[in-house]
Amino acid sequence: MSGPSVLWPDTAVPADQLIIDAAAMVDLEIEPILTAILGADEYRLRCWFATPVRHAATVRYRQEVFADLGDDAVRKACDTFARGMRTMRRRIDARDRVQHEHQRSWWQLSAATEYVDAVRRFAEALAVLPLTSRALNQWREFLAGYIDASGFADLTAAVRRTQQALSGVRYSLRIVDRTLEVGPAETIPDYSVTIANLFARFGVGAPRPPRPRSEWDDINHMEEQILDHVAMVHPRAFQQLTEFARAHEHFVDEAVAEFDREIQFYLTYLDFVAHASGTTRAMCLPQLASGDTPVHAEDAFDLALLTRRRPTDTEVVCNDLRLSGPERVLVVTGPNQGGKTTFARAFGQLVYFTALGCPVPARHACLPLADRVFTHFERAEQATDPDGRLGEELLRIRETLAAATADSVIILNESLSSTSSADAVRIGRDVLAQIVARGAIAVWVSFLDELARTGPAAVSMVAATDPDDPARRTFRIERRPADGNAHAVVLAERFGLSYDLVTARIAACE
Amino acid sequence: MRVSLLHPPDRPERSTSNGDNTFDDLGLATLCEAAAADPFVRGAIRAALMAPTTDPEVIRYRHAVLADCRAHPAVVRELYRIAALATEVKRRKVGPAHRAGGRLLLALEPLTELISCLRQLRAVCDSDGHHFRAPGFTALMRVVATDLDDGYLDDLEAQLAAMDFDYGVHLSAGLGAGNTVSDIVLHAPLRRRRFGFDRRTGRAFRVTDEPDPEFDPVARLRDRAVSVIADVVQDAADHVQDFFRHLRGELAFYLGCLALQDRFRAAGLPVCLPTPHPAGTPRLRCTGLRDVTLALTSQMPVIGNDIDAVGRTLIVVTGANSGGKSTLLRSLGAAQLMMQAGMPVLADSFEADVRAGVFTHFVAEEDRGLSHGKLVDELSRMSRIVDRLTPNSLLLCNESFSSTSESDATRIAVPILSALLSTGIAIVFVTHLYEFAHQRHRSAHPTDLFLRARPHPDGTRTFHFTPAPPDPTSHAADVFHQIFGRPPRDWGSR
Repeated sequence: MSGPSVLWPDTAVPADQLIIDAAAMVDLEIEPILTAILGADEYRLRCWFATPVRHAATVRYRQEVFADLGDDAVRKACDTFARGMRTMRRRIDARDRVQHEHQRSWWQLSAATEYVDAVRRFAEALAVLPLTSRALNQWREFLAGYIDASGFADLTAAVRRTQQALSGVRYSLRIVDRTLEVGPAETIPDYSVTIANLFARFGVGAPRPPRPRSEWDDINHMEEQILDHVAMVHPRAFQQLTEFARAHEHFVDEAVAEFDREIQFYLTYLDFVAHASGTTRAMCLPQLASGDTPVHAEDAFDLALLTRRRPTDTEVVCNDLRLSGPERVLVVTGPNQGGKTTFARAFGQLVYFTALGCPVPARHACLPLADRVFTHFERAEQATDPDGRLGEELLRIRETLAAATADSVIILNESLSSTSSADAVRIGRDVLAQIVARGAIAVWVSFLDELARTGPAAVSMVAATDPDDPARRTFRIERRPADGNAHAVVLAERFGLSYDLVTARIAACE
Repeated sequence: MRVSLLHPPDRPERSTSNGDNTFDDLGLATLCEAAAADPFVRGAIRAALMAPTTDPEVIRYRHAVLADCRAHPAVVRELYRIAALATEVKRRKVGPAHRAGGRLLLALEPLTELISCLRQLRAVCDSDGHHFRAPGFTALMRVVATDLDDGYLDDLEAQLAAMDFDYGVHLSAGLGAGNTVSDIVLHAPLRRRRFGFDRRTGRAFRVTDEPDPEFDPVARLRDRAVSVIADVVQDAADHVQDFFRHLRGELAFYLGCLALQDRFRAAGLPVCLPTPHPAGTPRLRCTGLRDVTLALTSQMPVIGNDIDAVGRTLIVVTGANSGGKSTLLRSLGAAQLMMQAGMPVLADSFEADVRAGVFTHFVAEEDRGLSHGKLVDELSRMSRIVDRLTPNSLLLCNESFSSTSESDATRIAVPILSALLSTGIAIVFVTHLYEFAHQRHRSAHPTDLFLRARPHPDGTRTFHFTPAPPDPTSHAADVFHQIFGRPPRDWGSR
């Protein structure tokens, strides 16, 4: 039986995709981010994450699911279901590895148990959850029908019956040298409890239960022998087990398996979001910019920086950006290594993940559903002769401008740096005017302050330094340079040592 | 079986912790070293100082135990000797590679030794226990008499002697993952005569030999069964040894106190049992207060100070350089901590309300890293202290904020101090920031106390502090004095 898709609103995958070339993927560091998101990619999700769409209906369809999964209860229900399905698959694998019939049957039973429980728990959880997404609502309806059908009910009943028969099995075992004797269970006190009680007055507690062997350990020939004898002591229970395994060899429904994979698109990404956002950062579902709505993002940050960062590194800095009215180009200037490239990259990532329908690295955002993303990042290894470089750069810019539309996003990083300032300013202004004429949106990281003063379409952003110590970079990109002067009181305040802050801090620990 | 020589068993534990630098800043290492050569005793004193109790009742409880120790030191030392002996019973380290049978044997031997230590303890308590009067000691004697009776000790020894799985292992089990042996319950060791297989049932079988014992399934199954009991015996040895470790640690504290008292008295220094007051109202008052570090290291007679700071939450100490300001600060902090550890204090008399931890913000000895700057360093240290301060803590500042200009320092210090005081923190502030001290003095807070070292008329130091408004001449006056051989004349204030 085929079920509803939670990734695509229609049966056909939309043809409109965000066009982004390999160089841009490298410049924006999308691949390492996807690797950080996907890990070993157990569910083969990379194909979906590598396909940002330009189809508002699909983006909204997914955003609805992400919004539903923002509810902890919904998220937990899905996570629990996924965990159950994963355990089920591992048990099927374990079954296929062993030879002994009673063991194979046991693994089969335990996989079916996990499946039945996971599906039923999930259906019960979904039934009472406040779902608003079309995708999950359709799925809930489908699932309710599935568990009510007779096939599933029969499977459940058989699982329970067989489980119960096996759980009643208990036997005694004597070991003398290499001879073992299996017999019916006897009721004799637990020796370790007797000894632990004797030392109870010194604080010795109940004995720790023995470390359970890993469920996945391979069985040995002695245990096979023991098992044969236990089966002789308890013939009825083992007969039931054999019958179960014969009657229910395949029990996983195809639609359930497909949902299990599709929902991972969301769960995997949300796991990454939880890791990426943490306490001071947040990720959000962006609004889709259209017409007059200004493009903006609050507290945007670079995901690639997070994937590279070690736990000891300092906090990743967040930045705001906004383009309203006639504004089209963010011109970012400021000191080297001041966070400008990071800022540009973060903007590209916002556009990319918006087109996947995913939450983006910002606290609030309104972003365009772009048709193409172009990047022009200067690369050190391309340093050949300056004229050649400029020519190559301008060639690429020309191609870009030819292909760009009002829906395109262009990110330029230190372009034109190989030429003299006066020339670069002249060329730069020209290119900027062309971008504006196309109506495209751009971020331009530049050492040319003049570019920032080109007119109402250009917004000047500056990588700020510490007001107390101009040599220290803050990695903040601000719309205008901050003013401030070194002052002990300011410093004390920064350490949380003003009157109000100190009182609040002490009161807080009461 | 609990040892409660440091804390009444029926009272909730209310101890607190100090700032990170408190121990070093107050020179408490010298105090611990003076207590004994035995590292265990030093450790016990240190632990008590680092976890001051905030319950006056507990302090009085310790005073009573200390009095018993003073009256019967020989018995206490004998108890300590047995506890030390038991603590030092060797335990073989066992790792994951050890089989359960081996672990069992390695744990049985020390446990048997520990039981003989329990017998020795019983004997001492039987013969000398009746001398003790403090509730802490009488409780211990009662526990030993009731929980370590002969029948029980005999039973322990008999059970340990019979713990031998050489004749075979008997267990019962259920079905686990993959229908393997699971939920093992071990039964008492098999006795040879009670064992015999019933061949007719056909349920006995022989497992083929496995040359490598590490991969022998029979050995592994036996091991799983015996493992639980090996854990229990190891656990029992741990707990019995823990009992002795507690006993040793708590006795060590008192032996350290006795040694310190003896040492101070021998040096002709006053030692007193302080009077603790409950938290809430400032009640600091002392006479003849000495600094421990100075008293233990100085060749010269040490001056005592009398301070009455009842009702005061801020003490500002000013005065000339090398006038004993830091020493006074240290002596106040150390006495507070010694009182809250239940120790005697180096003074003719000492009383104070208990404080939620003692924190120190002392001027850094050296310039750490030029990249930050000293003020940043000071502020970040202060900020870390604020993170840990709770209302009712005691903060000792020694020349704080001296790394910046006097006016900046004042601008920083005034709000910080007011904020801390408003949340109920008590502060002793040693400073030569005249501008700050003067400004604070002018605001005339009734809960402030200003102390100043009063020099002799000839200008030499007395190291004696009396209430007095801050004096602007500390720095310059010293220089003046060095150059002119006399203090400058004070025209203004009189």
